Amino acid sequence: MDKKQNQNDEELYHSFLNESMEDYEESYKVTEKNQKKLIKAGRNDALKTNIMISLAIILLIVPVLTLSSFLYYAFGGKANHLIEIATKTIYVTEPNMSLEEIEVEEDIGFFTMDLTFDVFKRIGQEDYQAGEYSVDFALDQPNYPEREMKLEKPLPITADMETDLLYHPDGPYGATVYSDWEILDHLPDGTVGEVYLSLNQLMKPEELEKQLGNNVEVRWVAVDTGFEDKPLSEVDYSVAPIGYPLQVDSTTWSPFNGREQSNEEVFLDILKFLAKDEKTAERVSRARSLALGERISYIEKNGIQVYGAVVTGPTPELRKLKEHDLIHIMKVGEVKLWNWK
Amino acid sequence: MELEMSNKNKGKQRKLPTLSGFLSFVVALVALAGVNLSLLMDFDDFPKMFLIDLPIVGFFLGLLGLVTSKRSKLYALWGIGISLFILVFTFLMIGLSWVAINPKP
Repeated sequence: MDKKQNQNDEELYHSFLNESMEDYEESYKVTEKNQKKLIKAGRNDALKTNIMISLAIILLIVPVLTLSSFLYYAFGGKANHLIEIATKTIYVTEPNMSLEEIEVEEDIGFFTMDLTFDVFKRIGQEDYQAGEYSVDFALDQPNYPEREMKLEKPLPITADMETDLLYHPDGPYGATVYSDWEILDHLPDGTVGEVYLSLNQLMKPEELEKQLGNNVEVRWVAVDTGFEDKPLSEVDYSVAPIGYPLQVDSTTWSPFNGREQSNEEVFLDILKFLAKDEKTAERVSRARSLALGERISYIEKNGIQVYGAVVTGPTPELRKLKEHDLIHIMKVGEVKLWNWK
Repeated sequence: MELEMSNKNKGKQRKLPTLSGFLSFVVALVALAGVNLSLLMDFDDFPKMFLIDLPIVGFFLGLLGLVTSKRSKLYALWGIGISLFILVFTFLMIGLSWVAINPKP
């Protein structure tokens, strides 16, 4: 009896199941046309998604690289540090050259930073734009600066002890160089000029200023660092004069603003600051090498003694310097129309 | 016993939310393309539309797409991600240029 009952149940179950399956197939059957449509829609959807995600990834490349570059230069104040090296190098390696830190422009690309700034020379009592410098950094390594000078007698791009018109009294350089007194004689009185004076002896910068009098202004002094009086064969490096501006620069951003330290102290601080990144400073400077370690210890041992100076003033006053016993060689730099008040 | 299929009408309900996720992604892509253009062409003017307006629109559209439908989640997430990236990018670039790199009073 039980066996028969079970068989009936099984049959009933199978018929019910078959009926349900038929029902399902009838009501949910997808026609071949619809199947193709579905596959096509799925394929299109996947293609659209792929295209959009690929596009997003491609478009993210430039912003991500830009942001990473900004983070690289901002992190730890790297950009500001590089700007400081570049500007301070100019003050101590280029005679009578100053710049406006506030006007330094930076342009950051993909892990590169281009600095551009104007440099100025004081001729008479006015600052004249001497040129435009552009220093390009790849990461933190500078390329050689591009200098577009607007001067009549610019110094050569590569400097050594022969080229910068300032010669040490005991050195081998400048032996065949003659003074430019004749040029000054032919200049009209209504002009102002900038001259490079090489002295007969070493002296303190204040003493030099006192000796030259109030009618001319000593702008920049070249400091004896133990290299200037030796021929190249005796020293390992080809160096060029270094020095500092003697006058206080009252603009807020100049390191030589005279508020907390004297210009001498600032000069030594700058040398020590540059010594930490000497390779970078060397690239920015016109000299082949700066040899700052040796020069700093020499200055600390012997004090600041100057052997040359860049002086500006009215041409008639500059002519009078000819009578000074102090002056060994005088070379004329720039000349401008009268602006001495 | 009931073998019920319950997704008969979902296709039609889904359209609007799917669209918001998709739109979020598209808006974010347009903004990103604008950012690329202004970076590569070195625009002087601040492209506010690409850097602020569009990413905000993309972000909210993405949020809408995220809460309303499962299928648009991928697009919505991309939309939100890119929009947020552009907003963070803008904020950081302005901050870094003013404070951390060559600051000027």
